[in-house]
Amino acid sequence: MRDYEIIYIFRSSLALGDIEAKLDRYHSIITAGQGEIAASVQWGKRQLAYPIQKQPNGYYVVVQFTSDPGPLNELERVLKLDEDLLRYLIVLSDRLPPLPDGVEDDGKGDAAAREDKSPDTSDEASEGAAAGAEEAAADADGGAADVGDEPAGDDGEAAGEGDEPAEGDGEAAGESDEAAGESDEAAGEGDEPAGDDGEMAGESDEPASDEGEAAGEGDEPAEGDGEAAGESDEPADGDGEAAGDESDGSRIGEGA
Amino acid sequence: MAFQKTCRFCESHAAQVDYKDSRILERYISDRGKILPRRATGTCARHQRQVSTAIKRARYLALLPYIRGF
Repeated sequence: MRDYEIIYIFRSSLALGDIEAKLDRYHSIITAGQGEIAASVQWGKRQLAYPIQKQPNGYYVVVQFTSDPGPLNELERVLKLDEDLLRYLIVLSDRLPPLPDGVEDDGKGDAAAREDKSPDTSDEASEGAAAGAEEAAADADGGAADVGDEPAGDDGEAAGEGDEPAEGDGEAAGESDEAAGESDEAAGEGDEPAGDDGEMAGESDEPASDEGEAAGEGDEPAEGDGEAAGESDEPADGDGEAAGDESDGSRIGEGA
Repeated sequence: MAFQKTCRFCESHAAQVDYKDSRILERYISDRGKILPRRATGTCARHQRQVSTAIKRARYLALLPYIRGF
């Protein structure tokens, strides 16, 4: 018996009932082979990072289970035949954190996962809770950094877990302050405000040397600014600077 | 903080990098969707290997793009 994890991506046009029916069918293959479903979380409909079979969205379901390797062959055979299953991935999850996972920000999935998990072996469950707490704290970092997103939900989670949410928040706030200070400087220099701005945004989350250059060239500072702001949007989960940079970008843009 | 000097995963004592956590993985890809090198992220060798696999899995599951910004 080993621990596995499977992610399904269903066609999002499927009815919920159909998805449940399919899941039951798949999982009966596992349980028939003495396997056991440990936890199951529905992420729900999400936008795909790129279209699969011309579908822009997919319905994600994550399931952790234990099984012998034998039934997996049969499971895979059935999965491959299913046209409504856009994609699936089965991986060993021996060392992966248990499902309460925080990928989905709404917290609903998490709660469900915890409920699923708790009645299982108590050792595993407590471990899971610990790991979950850590992750929740980490999430709070990201959430706070995201500013406008859903900080309330994330914070609530972190507080509920009681790890060290204060630290996370403090850090995030501190970082964004720094960013604001730095960008003020940049504005003060006034030499090539567009260029500075671009660089700043790039620096704040590592890559984006392209943007910095483009803005630095000063051809179309307005466009450069816009790009820089867009950039800072994307990796917002990274560090708390996104908001600061963005507002700054627009300010400098006006000045220039 | 231009460069992260320490490995975030070591700091958070993560046993394994989770391929489902696209939010975290987002930090380890460039604006074109390429996996960032260790020198840019400060990730330790062991976790960089895990990050690399995790990103590739996340790409397959359309949680992350293969290429971006074209």
